[in-house]
Amino acid sequence: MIEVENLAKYYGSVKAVDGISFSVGKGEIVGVLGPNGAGKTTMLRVLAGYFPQTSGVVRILERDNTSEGLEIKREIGYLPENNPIYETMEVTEYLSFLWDIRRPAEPDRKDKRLKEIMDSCNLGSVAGKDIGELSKGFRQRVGLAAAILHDPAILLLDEPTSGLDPIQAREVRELIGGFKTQKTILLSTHILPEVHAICDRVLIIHKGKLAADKPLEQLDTSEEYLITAGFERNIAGGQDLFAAFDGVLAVEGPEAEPGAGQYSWRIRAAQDIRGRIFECAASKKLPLIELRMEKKSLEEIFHELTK
Amino acid sequence: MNLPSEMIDTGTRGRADAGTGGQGESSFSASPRHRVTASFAGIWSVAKKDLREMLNSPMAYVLYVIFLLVTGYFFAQPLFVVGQANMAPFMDLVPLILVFLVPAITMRSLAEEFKSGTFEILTTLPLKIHEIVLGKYLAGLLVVGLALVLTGIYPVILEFLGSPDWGAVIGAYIGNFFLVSALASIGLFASSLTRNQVIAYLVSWAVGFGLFLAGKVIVFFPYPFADLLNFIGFDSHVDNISRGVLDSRDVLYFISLAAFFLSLALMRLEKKFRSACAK
Repeated sequence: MIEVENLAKYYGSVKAVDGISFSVGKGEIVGVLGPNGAGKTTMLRVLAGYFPQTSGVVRILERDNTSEGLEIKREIGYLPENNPIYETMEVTEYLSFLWDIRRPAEPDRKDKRLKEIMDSCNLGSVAGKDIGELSKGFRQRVGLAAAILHDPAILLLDEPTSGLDPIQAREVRELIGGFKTQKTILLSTHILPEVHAICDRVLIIHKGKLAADKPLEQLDTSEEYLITAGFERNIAGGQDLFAAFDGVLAVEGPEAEPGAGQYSWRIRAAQDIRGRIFECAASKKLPLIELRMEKKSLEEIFHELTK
Repeated sequence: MNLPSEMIDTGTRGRADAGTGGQGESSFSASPRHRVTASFAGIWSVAKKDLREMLNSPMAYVLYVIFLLVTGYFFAQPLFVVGQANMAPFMDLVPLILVFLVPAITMRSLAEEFKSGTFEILTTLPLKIHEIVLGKYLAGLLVVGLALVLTGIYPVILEFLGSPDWGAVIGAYIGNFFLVSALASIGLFASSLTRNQVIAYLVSWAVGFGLFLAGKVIVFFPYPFADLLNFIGFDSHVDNISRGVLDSRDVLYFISLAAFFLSLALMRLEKKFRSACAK
């Protein structure tokens, strides 16, 4: 659906996007992650046809964006960053305006579709209000309704939940999640839990370059296990005891948590040794009260990749 | 001054050709199928949106009231003070008032879209850049045109009180409408330069007022310059038309002026987004 090869976009001498290649298949929801200023918005703007790339090839729905930009725009739904919107227009006026431009040949379907979209985005109660008077959550839903109004095959969403409260953000996420498998979605964000909630795959962009392009579950490529073992009391010689297990790379501890009555060792190992720690504790009658393996959080991975 | 009357066309054709040639054209290039042809539906959709926006905000109404107050005074003054049923004092003044009024209506046209970021919505819709420009121009033209139409009540009042020279009246309205079409294009161009409406107003006012003044100061200049200024300025052209003389040279003057500034606006937008210092 979307193929990008060596995409570059310079603002004067500043390289905002610098040689990015990826492709997105039908029905995928892909999260675009990156720190502020990494080039996410610039990339989405090129894909949406806001401005042309400096170099590289963009093919969307098998059409080249340099020669068939207009046709591509017909099939894309785009929610720009910060959701700019005509504040003096009423919600229905705005959607009707968009329909007239996007589907000029089907004026008779307009009313039905407008009603459908107002229902699915919960906009019925504010239909006749000026967009400028709406709360941020409603505005964002109007922006989303505008993006999906013409039932596009591809959705480009630039930080769709930024600035929303947690409940509004969840509503918007559910709305987006509802398109899973029906639409191809490219969604930029820096809210990491959002990626977990809806994306199949992530592109991590850093300083205009692609730092990672992987399915979510394969993102953590390190071959290390981080295990925390907590005991009720300090164990003399614990350091040596754990270090003697096969595959252990490092042991730190004990860390005493004040008041909690727990002494924890943090063990880095090349394999999962939780079973053996348990057996060892059981045979030596050591009061094991916590045993867990940590996965690297998306935040840590993100931090490592964008160092 | 009349050379650029075809520039809109050649401009778009050039763009479409370049678009097939390679990089850097995606945003506004037309596909071969859609080459040059601006669909009126697209233009009208943009115009309708702008009209709604303008008529949903108090700005247009405030301007109408001011316009009618000022013109009303100059219409009523000779009527009551001198006792003459005469449109001439009113008509002489309208061009000057338009020079102040039109920029106030066109200033927000593009500047506000840049400022609020909504230009990103427009450019990512399946619209060609000249559809956007022409749509906005049409909207400005209609809003100012309505102001002119509203003053139509004055000659109607005169009809009850005396017998106005309808030929001169209609001629003057046609002349003023041509003037408005030029001023609106200047305003649109000024609005394409900046995201600041005040600057847009001042630039288009300065250009409009300069052209207005050019026709007034010819007495201070020696022969060849006086003639040149006389041609460049609004005055001689408006005068001819309002006397009921619809000379093709005058019509061409206003149409060329409008086409010239519309092309400048078009080029400005294309350049802005090709070099993409958009943020």
